[in-house]
Amino acid sequence: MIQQVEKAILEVHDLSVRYNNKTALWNIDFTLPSGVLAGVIGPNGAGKSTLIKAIMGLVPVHSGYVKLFGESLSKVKQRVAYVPQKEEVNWDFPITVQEVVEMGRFPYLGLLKKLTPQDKAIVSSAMERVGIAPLAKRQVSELSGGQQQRVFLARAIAQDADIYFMDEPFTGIDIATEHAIVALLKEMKEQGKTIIVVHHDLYSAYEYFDWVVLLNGYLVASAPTEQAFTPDLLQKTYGGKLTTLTKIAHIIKQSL
Amino acid sequence: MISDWWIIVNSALTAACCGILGSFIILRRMSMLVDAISHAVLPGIVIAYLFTESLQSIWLLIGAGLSGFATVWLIESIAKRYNLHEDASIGSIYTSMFALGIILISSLAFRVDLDQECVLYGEVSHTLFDVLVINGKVAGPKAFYLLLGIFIINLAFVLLNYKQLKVMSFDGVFASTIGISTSILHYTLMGLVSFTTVASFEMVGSILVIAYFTALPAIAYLFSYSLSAMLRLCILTGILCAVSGYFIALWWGVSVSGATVLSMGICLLVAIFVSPKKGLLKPWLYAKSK
Repeated sequence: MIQQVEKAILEVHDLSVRYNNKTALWNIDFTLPSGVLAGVIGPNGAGKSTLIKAIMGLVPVHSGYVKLFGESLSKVKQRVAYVPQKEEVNWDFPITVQEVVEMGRFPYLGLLKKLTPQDKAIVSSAMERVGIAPLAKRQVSELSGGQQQRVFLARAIAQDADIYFMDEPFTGIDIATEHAIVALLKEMKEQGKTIIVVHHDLYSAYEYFDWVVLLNGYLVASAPTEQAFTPDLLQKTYGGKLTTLTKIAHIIKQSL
Repeated sequence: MISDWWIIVNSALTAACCGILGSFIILRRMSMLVDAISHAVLPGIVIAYLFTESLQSIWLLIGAGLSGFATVWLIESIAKRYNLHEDASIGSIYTSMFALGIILISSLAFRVDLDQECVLYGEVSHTLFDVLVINGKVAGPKAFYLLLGIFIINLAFVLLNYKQLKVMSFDGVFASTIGISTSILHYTLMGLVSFTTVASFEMVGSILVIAYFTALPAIAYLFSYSLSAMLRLCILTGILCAVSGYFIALWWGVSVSGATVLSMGICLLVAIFVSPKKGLLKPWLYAKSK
């Protein structure tokens, strides 16, 4: 079930990625329409994070290529934003919340240029939107996991890109924050942004995303959520793991 | 008395040179790499010295820079390629490089006026004898001009790339996605660390220099809430330790570099207690008065 689209915002062609002589992704080939909130779903070690890292040029690609807006990444860098897993960052850095969000404006600045009043306005409205404006002067080391994720989201919003890649934004945060973030992502989608989220929880995936990419080393499906959430495809994605399978049956029952 | 003044100035300048680079190193959690570089520059220095027979020539810096680069590159590519943990790679590569340097020195000892002790320990006061003479007038020790040059280069590097360095140190992955060439910055930083190490060799030697790169920023870190404050505080602490180190050395009649690093140690100890961030006495010192 790989549904190709015309006028794709993202095209991945025959992408293979190898780590330490082990193949992490096999011939991934799919396209995404613009304006979707898409989830990359699969079991641990399925190469979900690797896929978006390969799209962002963060890991060496063994074969194949990626196009965004019909161009190579280097030509459209300003239109693409990436939100890393929050564990990849040094949260003990002596820096305030506002300074981190300001980093979202750096792609627009020259070498020695400072932020313009317009940049500052974008930064404060981004903080407002994700609800961290009161924390602006706080040190990032004092934040909770959920607040850290909001800071990342604010920085991404300040980047004002057209397509967003997010690596596991819901790990280590409470359910209220998760729902707030999902609502925000849906709002961004309404504004015409395309958002691709690496997500490991099958339960919530069905209600969060309108498009899913099912992955298990190779591509199992890429289609609107209702079409991809079939017993057959989910079984293929998660293999013969008994516990998962019962859970999957439950989810499918719910979704039918 | 003029010479005392030079000792303090040179020592403070060394601290400033190392401190501003060191801040980025400790924030990126790469202190071990500085340890490695400070030792691994040795073969480069010895080989450059063999050709030029001078301890002051620019070739020494270039030789050191090259072996510093080679070491960092070797460490990182071995770690990446063979899936070895970086500290294992660091530990084995830099000691091999250092051993190569020692073998070169000892096998060519009859030609080389460069001994292991000078390399390991350095001594501030020795640098005073080698002075720069312009038009027959003594213009101060050569080491001062070398350090001043390095300080200007380091400062210019940090100021010109401040935004990029800040993003890279906080979030390297994000930095590369917004088009910052992190590997160029990384290798430039490591190259400057190599130069700075060599420039401060005669002053402090290859072991104590690590304190200049790590202890100073660590002290500054415990008191700062922003990167720029940390950099400034680093230089300030460096000057403080240079002055106090000089007087400790004077009173006890001991090595100046040793005493300077000892005062850094004491400052760090004090910082651990009184730091407003995580200091042990924080609950008493900064009780909420609001």
